[in-house]
Amino acid sequence: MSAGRIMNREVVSVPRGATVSEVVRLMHATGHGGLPVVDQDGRVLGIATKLAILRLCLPRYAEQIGDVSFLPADFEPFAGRFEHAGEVQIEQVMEPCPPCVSEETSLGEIAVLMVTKRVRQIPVVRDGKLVGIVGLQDVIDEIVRPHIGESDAGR
Amino acid sequence: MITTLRPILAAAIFVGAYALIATEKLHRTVIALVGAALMLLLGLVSQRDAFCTSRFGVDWNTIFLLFGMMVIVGITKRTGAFQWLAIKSAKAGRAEPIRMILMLSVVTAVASAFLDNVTTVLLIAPVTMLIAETLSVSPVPFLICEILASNIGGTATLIGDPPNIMIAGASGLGFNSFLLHLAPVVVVIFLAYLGTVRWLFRGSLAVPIDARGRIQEFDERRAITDPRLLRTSLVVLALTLVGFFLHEPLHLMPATIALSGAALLLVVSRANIEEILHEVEWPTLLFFVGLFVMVAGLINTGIIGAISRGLLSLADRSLGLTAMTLLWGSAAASAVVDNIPFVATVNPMLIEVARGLAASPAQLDAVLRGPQMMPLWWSLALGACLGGNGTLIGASANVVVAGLAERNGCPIRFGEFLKYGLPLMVESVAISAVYVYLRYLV
Repeated sequence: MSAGRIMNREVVSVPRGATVSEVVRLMHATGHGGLPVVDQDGRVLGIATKLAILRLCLPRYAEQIGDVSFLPADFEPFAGRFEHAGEVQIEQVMEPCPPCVSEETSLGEIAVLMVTKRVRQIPVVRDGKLVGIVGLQDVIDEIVRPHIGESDAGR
Repeated sequence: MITTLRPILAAAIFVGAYALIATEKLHRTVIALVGAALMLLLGLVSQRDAFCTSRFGVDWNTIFLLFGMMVIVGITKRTGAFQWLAIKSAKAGRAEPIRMILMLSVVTAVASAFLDNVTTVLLIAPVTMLIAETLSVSPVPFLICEILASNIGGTATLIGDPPNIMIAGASGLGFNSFLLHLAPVVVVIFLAYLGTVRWLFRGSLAVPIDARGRIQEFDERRAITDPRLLRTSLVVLALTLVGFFLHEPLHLMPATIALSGAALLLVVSRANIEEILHEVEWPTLLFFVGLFVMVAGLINTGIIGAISRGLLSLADRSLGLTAMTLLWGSAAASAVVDNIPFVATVNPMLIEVARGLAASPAQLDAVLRGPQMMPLWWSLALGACLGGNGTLIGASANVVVAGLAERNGCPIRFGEFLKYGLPLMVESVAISAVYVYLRYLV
């Protein structure tokens, strides 16, 4: 099985100039957790993920402290950071240079990429341009399908 | 021809490496390793001299002492003890920023005296930024003071700062000697620092009324993530300290104490060795290795000896002038370049001076730890450690906290740091000068 066979061709992408609030709205509408960010020529610049947007709203030091359970339940100071997060350009938030594959890439290679690079979506490119996307669910379905009844394997 | 070329080559490699480290174009560890490889490949120092002799080449005591302490801290920091300390001291400041700065300075200085400065500030600084944001004040004054306190505190003990560890390796002076000769003056310097900071930041830090109570709501007990590991770590840390106090009567090197403590903590904590070894700062350790080999090249080709002769004739004429030159020179040098390579270069020079002062080679060890060398070793230690406070690039702790602040969107400007760091550095070195003069030179 290759990427070209399992990828989603109707890939929702966002332009580099989009704002975080536009991307969040698009994620909410489409249900996708990660959207490829592309330039004018359709080249993949990065992936905008929900986790990256969440990180934007948190100070770096919070991650360095790690366990902040000592904060009171009604702790508010981080809230001030959420207000301006929506105006930030997605290009500054996205995970840059994500791993991309071609349509000929094997399912096994994609599975290994997802696990080692800890990514849930892998853009598929032809001549440098975005033509589809393979999600974690697509890979799981492909791997698991042979082992379950045909009746519940259909999508 | 060949013989005259060798010192020139060694000096060129060393100066080139030094200059490259200053430009920060390449990682300092890579530069040091390339320099070491060149020294070895060109035969400027033999492999045996570089790796297998004492007083020449790699000082494995420095390496394994640092390694052992890194392992102990790597395990202890998982307990949340540092977060607990930071919150506790901020609370003790009772919502008054300047009092909080003073309390956090005390905690940072004491922790830095026994643990690596970089590790200490890396653990305290994130909590400090959270506290500052909670109070709606700039974290920059807090962070600057923690850097300064960390470098001052680290000066107090043999294990507090890498220059001291290296000086211990070169001189053979023990843990208690460092404590007896450095800790008293460091306490005075630190008290002067607290007073000066209080005065420097007077009236400049105002907290909005509504923000004042917020810190008191932090529950520091919940910061302790693993109480069992905390007890274990504290017991091992205490045992290790006792080991340091007793290492001379026990005829053990400080490195052996640190390694034993690390091994004991690895056993009793059942920590995953792979994970803990990730916490070890291998780049720092390998930087030391590369540096020691490069300096061995300088010693072997006679460069150190040549420079030392000048120092020796000065020491013969006036020990006081030599000590003061060393103190202020080290402070000035350490403010602008990394103090680790500086001390690595000066140490063998002082050994040469001791050799010159010794009546016979058999007496070298006694002279190294004798009264004539005291003002020189302690001037080097005080100058190199305290000089790091002069500028934002003066010590590793400074650079690390600056990077942390930058990533959090509140950069510490070079000039801003200089405004507080330089006067406090000059103050601390001046106190040291008086101390060295009164204790060793009159």
